[in-house]
Amino acid sequence: MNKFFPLLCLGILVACHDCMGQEKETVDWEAEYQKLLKTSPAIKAKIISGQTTRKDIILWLQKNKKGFEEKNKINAGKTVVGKKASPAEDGSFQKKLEDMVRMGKITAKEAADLAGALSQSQEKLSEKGKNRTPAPTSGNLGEGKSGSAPPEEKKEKVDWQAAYEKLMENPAARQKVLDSGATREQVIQFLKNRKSGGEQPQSGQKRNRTGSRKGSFRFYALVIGRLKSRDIELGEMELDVDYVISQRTKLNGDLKGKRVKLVGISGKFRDSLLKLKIGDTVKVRTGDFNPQTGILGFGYKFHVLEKTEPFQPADFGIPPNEFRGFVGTLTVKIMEANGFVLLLDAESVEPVATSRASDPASIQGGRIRIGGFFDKHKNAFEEFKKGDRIRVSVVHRNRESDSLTVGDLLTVLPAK
Amino acid sequence: MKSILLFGVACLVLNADLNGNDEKDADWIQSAAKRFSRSNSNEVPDFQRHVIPLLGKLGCNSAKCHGSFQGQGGFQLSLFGFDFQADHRSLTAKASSGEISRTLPADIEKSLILQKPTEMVDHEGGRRLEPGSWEYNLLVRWIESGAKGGVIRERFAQGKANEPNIQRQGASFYSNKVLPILEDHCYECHGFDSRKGNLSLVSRQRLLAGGESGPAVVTGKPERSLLMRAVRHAEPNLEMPPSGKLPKEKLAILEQWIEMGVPWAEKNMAPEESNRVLVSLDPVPREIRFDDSRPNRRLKIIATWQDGRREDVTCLTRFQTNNDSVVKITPDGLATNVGPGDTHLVAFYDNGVAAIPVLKPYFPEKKSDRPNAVVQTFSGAVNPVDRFINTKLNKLGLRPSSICSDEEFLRRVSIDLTGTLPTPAEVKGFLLDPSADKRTAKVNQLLNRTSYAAWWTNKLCDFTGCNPQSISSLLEVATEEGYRKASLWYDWILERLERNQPYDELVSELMLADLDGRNGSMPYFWTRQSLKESKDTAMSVAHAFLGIQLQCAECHKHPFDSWTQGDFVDFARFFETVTDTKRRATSREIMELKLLRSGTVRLQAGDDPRRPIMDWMKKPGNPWLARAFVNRVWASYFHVGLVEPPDQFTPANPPSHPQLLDWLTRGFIENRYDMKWLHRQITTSDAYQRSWRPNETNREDRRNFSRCIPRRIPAEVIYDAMKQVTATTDQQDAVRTNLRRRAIGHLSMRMAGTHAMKVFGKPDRSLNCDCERVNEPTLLQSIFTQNDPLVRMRIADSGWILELEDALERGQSIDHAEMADQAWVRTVGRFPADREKQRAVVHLKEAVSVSDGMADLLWALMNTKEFLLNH
Repeated sequence: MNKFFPLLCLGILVACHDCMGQEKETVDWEAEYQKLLKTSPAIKAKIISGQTTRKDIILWLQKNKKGFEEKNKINAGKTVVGKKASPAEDGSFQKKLEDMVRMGKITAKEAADLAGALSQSQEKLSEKGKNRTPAPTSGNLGEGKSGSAPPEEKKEKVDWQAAYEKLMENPAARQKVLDSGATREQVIQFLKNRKSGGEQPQSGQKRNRTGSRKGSFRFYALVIGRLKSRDIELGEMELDVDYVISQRTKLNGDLKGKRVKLVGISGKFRDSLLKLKIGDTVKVRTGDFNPQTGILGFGYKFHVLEKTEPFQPADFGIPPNEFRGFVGTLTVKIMEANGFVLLLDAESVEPVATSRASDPASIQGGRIRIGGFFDKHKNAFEEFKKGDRIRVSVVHRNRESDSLTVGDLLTVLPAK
Repeated sequence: MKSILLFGVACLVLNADLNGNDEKDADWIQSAAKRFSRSNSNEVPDFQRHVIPLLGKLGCNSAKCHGSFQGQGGFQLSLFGFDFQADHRSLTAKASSGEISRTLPADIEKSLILQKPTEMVDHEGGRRLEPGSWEYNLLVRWIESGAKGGVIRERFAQGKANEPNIQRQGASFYSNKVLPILEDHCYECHGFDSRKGNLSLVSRQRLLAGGESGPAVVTGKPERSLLMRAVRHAEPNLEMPPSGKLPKEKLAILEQWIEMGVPWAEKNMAPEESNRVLVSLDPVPREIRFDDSRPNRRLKIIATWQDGRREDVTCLTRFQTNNDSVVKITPDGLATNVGPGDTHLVAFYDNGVAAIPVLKPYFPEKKSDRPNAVVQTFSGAVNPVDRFINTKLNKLGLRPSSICSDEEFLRRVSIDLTGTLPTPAEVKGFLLDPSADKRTAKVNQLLNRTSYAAWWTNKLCDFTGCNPQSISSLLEVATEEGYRKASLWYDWILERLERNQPYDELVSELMLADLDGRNGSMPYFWTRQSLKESKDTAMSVAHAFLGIQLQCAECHKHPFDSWTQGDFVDFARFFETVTDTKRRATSREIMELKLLRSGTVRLQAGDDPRRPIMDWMKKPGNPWLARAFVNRVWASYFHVGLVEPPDQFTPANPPSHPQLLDWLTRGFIENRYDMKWLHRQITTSDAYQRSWRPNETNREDRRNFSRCIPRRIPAEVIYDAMKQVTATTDQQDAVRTNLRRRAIGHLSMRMAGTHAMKVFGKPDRSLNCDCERVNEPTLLQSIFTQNDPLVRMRIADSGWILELEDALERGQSIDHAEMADQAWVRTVGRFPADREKQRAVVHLKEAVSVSDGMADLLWALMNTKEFLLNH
């Protein structure tokens, strides 16, 4: 029996239930559970075999109900965690396009096309959203099975523009396209290649090429929040988010102040989870985010899950506004080296002419966070330790971001 | 007078026995020690039969001396001596100083192989033989008679499509002659990371592809080859190496090499094998039974070769004892009893291994016709397992411990079969059950629980290497893809164990899995990223399904088995495609490969090379598949295998109870590899159900199953047990049956690498070794059970204690004695003794609160040996 079959059954069942408008104000969960047992032998088998319990199923049913209610709220135009607001509305997308044009990733014309196309698709989405029944999801259990389904391809003539629009309706796909800086034409070419067999997604449990969970997109972020609950066996926890540091500034803002669930903590990180207490301020690096369920995925490769001091922006290297837009060289002392990110005490600053920081010296004596040590600086990063002094060129491309990016220059200085 | 005569005869017999003179009817050739005892012997020693074994016996080709990978003093021999060509080359070459030859036929006594071991010249290894000794004479005669090498088998005489003999010879030429030149003169600029002029010499393909100046060689045509023009310095702008022209001999070697077609030593090249095949190695006597009157026995070893030659090779044989507290043995084969017990002496000669059972009774055997025979009480055993066990106990004069109590049995069998403690209700029900066959009924009941399937799935995952890290690519490790795949692997096996799929079918499905995972197959055994080369896969298959360790034979002849490098290389080649591609399991070319000394397999291009291996494994006569599993199951119940370690089936490591292993294996096969049949046979035996309390005879016995040896509970079981002990009463069943939250269940993979699992020895499943699971108690485990946050959390969050607090709040009275009973039953599966109960009651009364007292009591009980051991 396919492991996901019962979950699929559940999803379909719940979706149908929702579609037919049979929800009541108070739900008899025991009755729902019994009904499910009768209609789904697969679930019954799992219950008998002990792979899941009555309590789990009821909890799951309840969560699904909540999930659908939230999604309905999304469709009604309310902003909640997990729902990406219209890029056309908040202006961030336009800003992103401008940045991409400035960096030479796309031309001005392509940016205009993309903005226009997205605006149209957003309108369509809003239209649909009014009456749309959300696709069934499997919540925590199924880790989102409906999020990133590829567009349906017909064997006859394909309307690639429509396929593109449809693809962009998917928040995860859209985010990936934006991240990659790909043009509309490039995306369409990708779709064409995929149709001709080059990138054919496989059936079953195949995940995204990045390795993130299905329905999720890559979200490398440092999340700081207070622990509200934890499950050391399932490797999950809930946080009241105080702050998020990542390149996705819009999402950072969305998550702030919300209670979010983080899943996928395994192996030695369960020891870290065990040591945390409810109420502790925790910092954790994430690897992905599911925009539909609002669930974060733990980022294994960064090795960050630990208790920290209550959140204070300066302690975490959040730059003051006067420093934002800085381009130049910093002389700094390493306070923390973790997950390819350095937290530094700034000793001196040397802005270059293109720097847009209004007061570069404002960072002196304060803390700053720089990332991007993936390729040529990877080896150097691995040797860094607390207390090392370095001289490093940095650029703060996105003023909304709380983290700067390392440049070419990276020199270790003698200790003072 | 008559008695004097008898005494004289007895002394003669004993003397003959001690000196190995029982040869009057011998049909074998005398030992080399005798034939070469005189310096004027006309005998001609054979390189394989005499010279190499002698060097082995003297320790020359051991890992500490010339058998090491670097050799010693510039002289290198193959480790344990099975590369006859290489050894012969080394022995007949000049010394590293270049002045003296190791063998000098013209002036034999100046030969270094005589001068060094006699310390005529300085020898770091010390004096190994005396001038004039038979060993010395043998080496002299070998040099005198021409110092001939081994007789190499014409392995490819009948034609082997993919690997003609010429290729092997060429590869040898390349390795020994050409490669040193390339390494010394060319690799600095054209090897490994350097490719000046875009030319790399690290592979044949790259050499032929050439660099910026064009192809480096034209095969078979040195005159047209750029490489030869360069090394001859024939053209002013093309002089290689730039440091100076090579000597003529080296130029000649390169020329010859190109003429030969530029042969290359590909990976997986094993030494040529000898044409002299050892058929058997027979010890005389075949077994030794010591008694107080005869503490010494001399062993003789007879080698039988394929050509019919039989020879006494005792003097050329290496001996070892498997237990020197029972028997010791001298290099010339004199065995001396040290103490009671049973073990084996092992003899090594050529690639033969002979194990000689040795037994010294703890107490003299009682004859069955004697009224006070200690064995009478269990001679009528019904379970065949017990008949085999008891027979050996009789021989050893051991009296088994009595049958364990019902409480002990229930806890023991629940842990062993299902990895789960019995619930308090189950304990009480079992103790009250008056039926005579309640133990058998309980075994059957446990076998039908999901936790049985879960626990044994966990074990099968151990054996087959289900490791989240090794399944995944680096990118996947960064996310949690490895855990997901490992869970799918676990589920796949679990499903089959739940419906009791025959073991051979389960293995067959794993072995022949579709690598794309189609039709519900499980490909991850094969697609593990940790299997980088076919040799890794070969070792994994051998370990997982055959219970044998092949890794030694990767580099040299296996020291304790008959496996040669050739055996290993051929076995590894079966897995080349599957390992290289991780997508395709079809042979790329026609191959003829030996299958672990069990015949030859011819594969056509497109064949699945795994299929003939699986077919072979499933044959009823296959010596490994069923036996390995039977032995592992046995070891799981007794903490020691019939073959111990359980994954080391070698002739040097014979089973303690060979007939029992044979019987169980046969029964397992006859019962269509029914795993439950096997579990039932073992767990319903008296041997399994014996008490851990020793009697006056079996206190020292740890190998013959005369009593239960207490063993630490496995890591996953301890984790689950702590949770179960502290759970609420109505959650007792749920915590046992919800596999999503059990360490023996789905948490098995996700908990790997946690502190708790590491401390208690849960294996990472990254090694091909059953020893990866550590069952020994350690100090760290005590620290864990006393102080770890997990233990504190379990007690602090105990649903059972909260239940008690709720009851108190509702005004219910708590019976301290009843509480003590429950605490004992929950943790150690029995009711407390009066003294224990009194202490507990006093503590509960004196505690600040009942919940505090209960927390203390649970903590104390979880820190007892009784809780942490399965006994």
